[in-house]
Amino acid sequence: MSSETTPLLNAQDVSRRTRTSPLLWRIAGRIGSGALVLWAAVTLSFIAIWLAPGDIVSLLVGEQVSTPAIEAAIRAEWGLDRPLWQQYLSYLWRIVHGDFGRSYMLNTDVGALVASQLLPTLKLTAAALLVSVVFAVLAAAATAHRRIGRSVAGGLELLLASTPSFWLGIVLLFIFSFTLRWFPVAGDRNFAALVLPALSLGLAQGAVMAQVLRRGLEDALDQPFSLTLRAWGVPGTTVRLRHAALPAVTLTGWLVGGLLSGAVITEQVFSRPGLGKITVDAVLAKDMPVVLAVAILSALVYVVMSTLVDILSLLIDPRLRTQAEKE
Amino acid sequence: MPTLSLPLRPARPVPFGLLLSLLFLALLALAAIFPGWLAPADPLLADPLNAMQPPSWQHWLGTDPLGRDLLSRVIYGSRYSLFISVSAIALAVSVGTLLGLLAGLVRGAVDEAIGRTLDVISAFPDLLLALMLIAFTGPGTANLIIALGVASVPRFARMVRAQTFLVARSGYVEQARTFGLPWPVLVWRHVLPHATAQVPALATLGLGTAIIGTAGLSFLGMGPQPPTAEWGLMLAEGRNYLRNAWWTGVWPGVAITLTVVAVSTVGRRWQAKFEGKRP
Amino acid sequence: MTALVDIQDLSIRFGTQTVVSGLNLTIQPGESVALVGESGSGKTVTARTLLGLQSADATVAAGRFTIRGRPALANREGEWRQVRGREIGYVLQDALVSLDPLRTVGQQLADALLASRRVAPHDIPARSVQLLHDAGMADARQRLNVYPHQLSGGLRQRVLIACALAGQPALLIADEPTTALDMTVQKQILTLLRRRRENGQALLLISHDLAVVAELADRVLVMRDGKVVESGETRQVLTAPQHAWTERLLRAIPTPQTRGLRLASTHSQALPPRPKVTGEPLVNVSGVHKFYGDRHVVNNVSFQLRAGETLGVVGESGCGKSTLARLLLGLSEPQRGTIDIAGERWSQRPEAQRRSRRAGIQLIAQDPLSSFDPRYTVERIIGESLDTAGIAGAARRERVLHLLDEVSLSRTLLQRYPRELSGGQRQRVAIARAFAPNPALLIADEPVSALDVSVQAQILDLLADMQSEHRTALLFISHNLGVIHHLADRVLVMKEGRIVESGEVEQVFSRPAHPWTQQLLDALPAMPGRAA
Repeated sequence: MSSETTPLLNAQDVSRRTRTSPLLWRIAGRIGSGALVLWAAVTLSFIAIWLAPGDIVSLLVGEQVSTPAIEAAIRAEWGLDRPLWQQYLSYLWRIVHGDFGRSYMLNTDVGALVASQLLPTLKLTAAALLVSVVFAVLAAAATAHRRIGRSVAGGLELLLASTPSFWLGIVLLFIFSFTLRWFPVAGDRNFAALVLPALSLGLAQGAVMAQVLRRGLEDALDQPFSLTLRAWGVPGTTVRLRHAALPAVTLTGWLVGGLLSGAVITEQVFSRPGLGKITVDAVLAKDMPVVLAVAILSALVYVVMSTLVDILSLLIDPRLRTQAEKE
Repeated sequence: MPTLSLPLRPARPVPFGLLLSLLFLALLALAAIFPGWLAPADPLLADPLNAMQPPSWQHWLGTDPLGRDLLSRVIYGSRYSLFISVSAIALAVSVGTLLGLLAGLVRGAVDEAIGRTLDVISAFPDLLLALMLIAFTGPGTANLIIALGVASVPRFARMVRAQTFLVARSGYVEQARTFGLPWPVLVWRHVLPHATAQVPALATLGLGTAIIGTAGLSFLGMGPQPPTAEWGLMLAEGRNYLRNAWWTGVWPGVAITLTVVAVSTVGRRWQAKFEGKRP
Repeated sequence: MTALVDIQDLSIRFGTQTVVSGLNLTIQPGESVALVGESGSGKTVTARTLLGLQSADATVAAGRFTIRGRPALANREGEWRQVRGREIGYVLQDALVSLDPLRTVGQQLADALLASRRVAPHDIPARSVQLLHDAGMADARQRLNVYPHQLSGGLRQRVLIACALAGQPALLIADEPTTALDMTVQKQILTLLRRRRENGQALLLISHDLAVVAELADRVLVMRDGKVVESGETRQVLTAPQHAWTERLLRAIPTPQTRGLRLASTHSQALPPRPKVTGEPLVNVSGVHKFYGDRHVVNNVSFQLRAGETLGVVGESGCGKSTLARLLLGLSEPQRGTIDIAGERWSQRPEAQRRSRRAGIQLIAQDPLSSFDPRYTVERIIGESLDTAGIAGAARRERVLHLLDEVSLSRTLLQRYPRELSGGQRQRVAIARAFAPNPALLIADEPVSALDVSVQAQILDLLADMQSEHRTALLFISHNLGVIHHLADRVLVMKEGRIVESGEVEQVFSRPAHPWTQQLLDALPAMPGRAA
């Protein structure tokens, strides 16, 4: 016979699946797979050098006239006389130590060159990221499920997302630099010089992100738990902003990749110093060490960002931690 | 107890935006295939006496620094943008769909291998990956196609893989197993159509990105070389004359933007059709 | 005494479509009122208007609409926030999706308490523990740091109720509070809600389940198509209904008394006679074990099923009944034990050898929509099971049409897509498809659980008709003892992978041997006796 009173339940009623994998294990796993991808990227670039048509020496020398002294230097640096696996290992070793070799065309150490040009590009990328995220979060949170707002915002975003960022830059340059003279035309002298490039790069990507974010937000707002929050009397804005956060984090990682490549072009448009110029020059002149250095660097940035995003997601969404058990 | 028949679905009018986009794309396709019909002048004909003319009745969009008619150059330029991006997406779709299906159906080690490869490709941002590939192969149309195509493969492969995975575990595939249908028949009848259902819509959206990518790479000098009329290349040339002749740097960009807007609108409508039909 | 809620002539429209009209609802302090109806009757949308939570494209109008004596129809969002959580609390069904998965129980209680503005922030932790305790949770303090998905269904529902009561509202609206829960858990939640009535607090219950309503409500309003067709004291309405619809709803409930009778008819009509059960067992399950990892999902299960027999399998979620179905269908293999069908080994045989016999064993799943390829028309869906029988072309068309007639579906539906059909129509299509290859064994896994009671009645009658016609053995899986009692010859009671009791239905349900069976029977909410 059952009793009339509600029996107080004890801990056994808690689902047996609460054994949480130690969070640290999952984080270590993410870092591990990030490192794996990076290693694969570096190996791929090594293979690319070897598979490229032509002799390695002439590949590295490029279009200049080659002298025996240069050739000897290349052989020594790349260890071309040693067996393949030794070359590979020494290549890995050097990369890990930041030694990207020497550019024979520019006659300078690649690592130093890239390091010197890195800062302006990072500044631009960071500024554009800020523009993108702020624009996307505001646009999405303010217009989710609001009929008129979302059509207007949607149209604007379509236009921005369809505009090539370098052309947007050109237009902004024309209006605000040449005609209105509010901002400098070129260079990286001051903060003002960062505004137009960051806007042109950030708005285009931000528009794409806003669309995705709004979708995710509307899905979340349709969920029963959003209704529950409102039923408790929680204000609408709080509900909206809170659920914009998680998708925003996941998108940021993906965004950085796009912004980094966009930065390359934007620097050309605004005549800014940075990795853009040296990359384009290196590609056109087939200066392999420089191209490889930039490629590996960008892979590094992307891998670091997406690993951070993965880890952040693990921290924010507790369901991901117990995912393994359910499968 | 017989049930009443359901009412016929009411015909919905085609949305205005979609109609406009389709018309624009039809016009663009015409311009790409038969530019001679639409263009008033030879895009390569230089006329130094008439260099840097603002838009006028003789030259609707003005002339460039070498005196070439901009309207004609924009019309001829559509060939490259469309040809390169369509080819690149076609490449990405075929390779990507194949890889996605393989990964989703065979699973196990094959899935892991394909997944890792895709991860490595996506570790490099699209444009930088394309730049790297061009560093090895050199600039030019064909190389641009390969570079953009390879960079877009992960997107399609991942989507097809995810769909394949979902469908293979769906209720209707399981039910079909109870009928005694062999696995290859199930895959052909139920899995393939659903796994690839969203590909056309995604491809159309990817086309927009590819068009911008083509223009971007050409802007940097990686694509067709001067004196070819190509939108990105024209923008690079025009940028230098912005102060005095704004029209040289504007029209190609307008063309790119309008094309991508049209393509995106079509792609999104197409994709919206699948919203309610997830497996 | 001011009524908590006083609504006269409420109407709700979505564009040109009217979903509720002419509704009168009054709730006095301390009263328990229920809105009963099937899906689409308008009960949920009515309840939502009491909190201003109807969707943005709904137009609401009423002759009188007051909450605690104050007119509320023209409330702005700020005014509604005064009502929500403080005057009226709202509990949705299925706490798994109704609680934020990213926030702990404690955080959500804090959200609710803060929003109610009746508690000072420094009192929140103590108050949270108190609320959980009142909702019947032991170890309340430890539970504060737990996430919703880590709790069982019953505990989650208690958390949801605790949050809804955070602001000490005078009225609690419970919208299908037990639908997603097992029977035994449902009983506990009902007890919790009944305490409200005992403490003199008001409750508005929304439900499709008349038995639940009987347990909890003083007054009931029966809704159909947006109108109230009958209202009055619960006992009165359920024992002596005035309206034909209420009568029909009551008749549709499967009970021990309805055994052998049609559920969907206006007078007690008998079902066709059951096929005679003779001969060798069709299905022989012996010592079957199934593990998923280290979970022992099916534990030493043995039973037999004869041709033409209906065997019910009853148990709560996680007891292994669905896994058992998959094992019988050959969709998964037991690690130990054997399954024989029609005298031949079925389990652990290579697929190539089993394939030819698959047509003889068919499945009807709980959710027919997900068992249909969305690209297929009704005709193709029903015909697909005939592939292996080699029936094609004109012969197949003929058979499909014949089956459509058998399940009482109009031929105009042949070219329709599953998404265009109603829940009942879809299940009829699924039944047509299942019987198409003339199977010897049909496995029905919760085939009516997702259907409205009136539709459920029709489908159960249909199944009985089809089974009698085709002489198919039926394995009927359900968590609903009433349905099993109505339809099955024998029953297996499962718990945690084991069969705890088996036997003739009448025997097991009237004189249960195992305490678990007794517990399941006790958990059945009681309907008041009917006037003949």
